[in-house]
Amino acid sequence: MIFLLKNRRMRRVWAALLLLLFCASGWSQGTTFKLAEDPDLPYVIAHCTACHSGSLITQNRMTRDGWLKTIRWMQKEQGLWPLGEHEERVLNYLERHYFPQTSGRRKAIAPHLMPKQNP
Amino acid sequence: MPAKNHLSRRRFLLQSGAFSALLGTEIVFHKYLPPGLLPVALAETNTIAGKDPGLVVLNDRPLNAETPAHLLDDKVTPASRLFVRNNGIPPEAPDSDNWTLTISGESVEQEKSWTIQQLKDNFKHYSYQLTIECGGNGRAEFNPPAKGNQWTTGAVGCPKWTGVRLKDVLQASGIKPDAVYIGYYGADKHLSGDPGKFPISRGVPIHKALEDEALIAWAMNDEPLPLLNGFPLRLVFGGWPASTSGKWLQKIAVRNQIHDGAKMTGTAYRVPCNPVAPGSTVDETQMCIIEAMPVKSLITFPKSGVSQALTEPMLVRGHAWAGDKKVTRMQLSIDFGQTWLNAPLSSPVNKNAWQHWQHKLRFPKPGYYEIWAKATDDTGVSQPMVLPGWNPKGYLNNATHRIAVQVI
Ligand code: HEC
Repeated sequence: MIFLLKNRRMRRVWAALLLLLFCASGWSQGTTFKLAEDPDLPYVIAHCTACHSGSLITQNRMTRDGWLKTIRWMQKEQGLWPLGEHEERVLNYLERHYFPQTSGRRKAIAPHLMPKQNP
Repeated sequence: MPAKNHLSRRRFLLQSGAFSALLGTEIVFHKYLPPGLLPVALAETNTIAGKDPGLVVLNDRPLNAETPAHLLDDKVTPASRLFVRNNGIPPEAPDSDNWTLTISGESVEQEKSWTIQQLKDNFKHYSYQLTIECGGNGRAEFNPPAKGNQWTTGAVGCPKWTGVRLKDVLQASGIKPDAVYIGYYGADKHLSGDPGKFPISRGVPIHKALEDEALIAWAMNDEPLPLLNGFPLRLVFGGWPASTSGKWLQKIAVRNQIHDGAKMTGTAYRVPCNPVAPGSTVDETQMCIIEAMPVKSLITFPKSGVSQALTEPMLVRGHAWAGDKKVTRMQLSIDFGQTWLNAPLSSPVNKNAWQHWQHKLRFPKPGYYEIWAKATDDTGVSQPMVLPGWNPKGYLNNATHRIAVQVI
């Protein structure tokens, strides 16, 4: 529908509103790899999903320092821009949701590979 | 809503300055964003054109996908079941008729370029079944976790590759005596869209490059390469991290030093030169380049999670491989490694091809079992039961594969 809006200015307003809406509702993430809902999520989407999908976040677990080092590495080697005042929020988000869990030396076989009849 | 509209809407949102509105502040990074790059969150699909729908997508942008063990049961891996590892953005529609490969670098006598047809016309063709495995296959088991795509067991495959020998093509240019390494350059683009950056440019020492089985390949299983696996031309070095087997191959540089392209330096595809405790921070100067991959095996039949009748024997089979070496023994355990049975094992069809094994197992009583598979190479080195040598980037996990079985 928004493609039909001819007026440039109107389109901008619509776009901004829609984007806010999508981000707030999490709809824009699709269903495959869902980044954790959080007030800071829009900052993470804005800064961290331009080059690769958010699945590189959801697959990983790091300490705050680990995330910071990863960001510095991407800034040095991969063309990531300075996050400025948003860095703190992005790091808070990453630390909050994607922190390492302690686990044994070798985990049990993944649930989807287990027998259904296993009592 | 059709995908195309989706994209154009997102592009529009970005260009319209909606981000400033969203974040309520001037966007520090806006000017860094190359055209065509969109902060889209995630795609809505996880099936890949030309690939088996059973492949598991780890990352949809760039596409990275692995093959569940039970889909790797074929002796020769079908193109549809070979994993996909992208470091950058693959070329969209490469033109194989006008594709050229250039041989250059400090250590060639004469720079030369070849079209694919010229390669086909001027050099003898060879076909080999070569195992390629991502260096990070098994990363998902690292604890503390290692960053990157969390491959479980499926970033490996062994298709039949056809092409010309790399050594024949290098020799046509003349290799200077000071040559130590080759480095490749492909047509994939860096994720940032920056044309000055390469997503990946790795290679191998000259001795590996000059082996008979080191190929410049245009075919997989007698068909043109799948786009995602390097169409129209790629390198294949069996038994070494698959990242050495450059896709969408445009240039090979013969180097008088260890190649220093993207992902050759720093911590990429390197492990600590000396073993470290899990979780250690390792200085870049103490990280050494991975060469041949370690001994490993997979149980490809049955699929983990099956039920098995106590009264029947259970047929179990799979493959085993060992980098540049041969697998000489294959063992199975149904009691968590307390006792082991030897499984008959085939010889490889050629160097760097995986080998096949199978066995009939019987279980003593009903209940939950795990089948563990352990291969041993011709130097007596076996797969460990737990994660071997923890390393910061999560490479080289060759711990025994396990499947779960309920005996009823
Ligand atoms: C300018 C492009 C760009 C942006 C923006 C970007 N990244 Fe990356 N990132 C990369 C590249 C390139 C890689 C390497 C991808 C690969 O090897 O598959 C990467 C890899 C990663 C990895 C895996 C690290 C590894 O060692 O393999 C993580 C985790 C990650 N990014 C998180 C983030 C987060 C969090 C943000 C936001 C702060 C972000 N990225 C923004 C380019 C970017």
